[in-house]
Amino acid sequence: MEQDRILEQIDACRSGHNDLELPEMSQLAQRLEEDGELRQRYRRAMEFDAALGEAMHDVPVPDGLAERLLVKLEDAQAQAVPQELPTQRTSRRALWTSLLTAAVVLAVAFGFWKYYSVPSEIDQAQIHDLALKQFPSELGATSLNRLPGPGDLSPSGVNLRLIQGWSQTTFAYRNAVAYHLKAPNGKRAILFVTPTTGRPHVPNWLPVSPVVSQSALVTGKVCTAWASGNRLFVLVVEGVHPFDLDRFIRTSHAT
Amino acid sequence: MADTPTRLDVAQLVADHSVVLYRYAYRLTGTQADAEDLTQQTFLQAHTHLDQLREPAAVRGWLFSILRHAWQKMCRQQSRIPESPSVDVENIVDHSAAEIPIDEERLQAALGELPAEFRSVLLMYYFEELSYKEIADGLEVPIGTIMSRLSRAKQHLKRRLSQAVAADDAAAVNEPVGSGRLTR
Repeated sequence: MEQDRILEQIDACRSGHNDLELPEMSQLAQRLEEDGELRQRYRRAMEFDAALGEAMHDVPVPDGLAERLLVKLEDAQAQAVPQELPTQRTSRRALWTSLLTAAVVLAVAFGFWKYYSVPSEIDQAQIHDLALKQFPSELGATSLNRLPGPGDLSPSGVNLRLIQGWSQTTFAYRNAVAYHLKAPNGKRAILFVTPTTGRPHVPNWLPVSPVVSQSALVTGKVCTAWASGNRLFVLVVEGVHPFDLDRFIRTSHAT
Repeated sequence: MADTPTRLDVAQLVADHSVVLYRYAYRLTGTQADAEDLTQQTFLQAHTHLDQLREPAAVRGWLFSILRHAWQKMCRQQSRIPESPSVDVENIVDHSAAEIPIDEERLQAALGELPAEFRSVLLMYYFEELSYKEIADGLEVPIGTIMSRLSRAKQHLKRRLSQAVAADDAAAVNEPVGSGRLTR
């Protein structure tokens, strides 16, 4: 065992180095001083170590090694670039997907908001109120379309000869058409026509023909509403008395 | 220039270190193709991680380390590492170097017989010129283990090279007269 350790220490010594001066080699150094045969063995080990060290590096190097390495390295680097591109494409695709998803989510959210932000039902007073508030802005419309208007929202119940034109608008949270009317005395009126279907629900007790007596009297404007053929008609007229509506209504049921 | 570059680039690394790295790789792998492949991997990784080199003066040791790790990875992928050491050092020979001419091919064949952990220690000793203590630190293995591996690896090479010499001598003695080379 002791001999094996001594031999291992000999093989650990490097030729041309003063390894025997190292503290951990002190035992070996002492043994070498005492044992001539071991000294011979050490000498031969150092010769073999030197020869082996030299032979280790004696490897023929193939011609053009450095050039081939550089070419391969350039190829590898060139291939590394396209490997990054799919990552960028993936990132772009992911970005577009995210944007699209966000847009869909926003659209759905907007749809929900729009649906639930309107009341589920609207009564006659609210209809009148909406029409009276919207009346001034509709009167301000500068360019009017000529008759006839949209077939599904055609005017009904009013004196068609007084219609000056029409414009597309929204009324009672729906798409609507605003027909502009003008009486011979210069009084102006707006007839809002919109579908009764959809949200908010329009009360089914509205009269099917204009009823002047049910209009609301507001400063300078009078209003009436009726429903017919799945359409809601709301007439707002410049005036201070319900009779001012009569000039525009074709069939009067005033009471 | 090779050991104290101030500005490193891969072309300069190849120019300065490709030969020694190739020789190291050849001794590790035993074939020209694998040695070139390993050398290329080493430079590629060096180029990729050049910013991690803290001391440019220590670039050769850094490259050796990359090469050694790449070889170990290659061995794992190819399952080349034997499960257990199989070095026969029962019959330790004690010839002088003059008595054992070292043939490059026989040396490589003997190296190829060494288990990976013995071969790597031996080549770290000769190519990286590390002491057994530095090898022990680098591999995180006790000094005694490194000394033992180094000794057994050297003895294995000595024995195989001696056997080859003996076989050559026997072949020369048994060779019939006139059956070999033409002489005048």
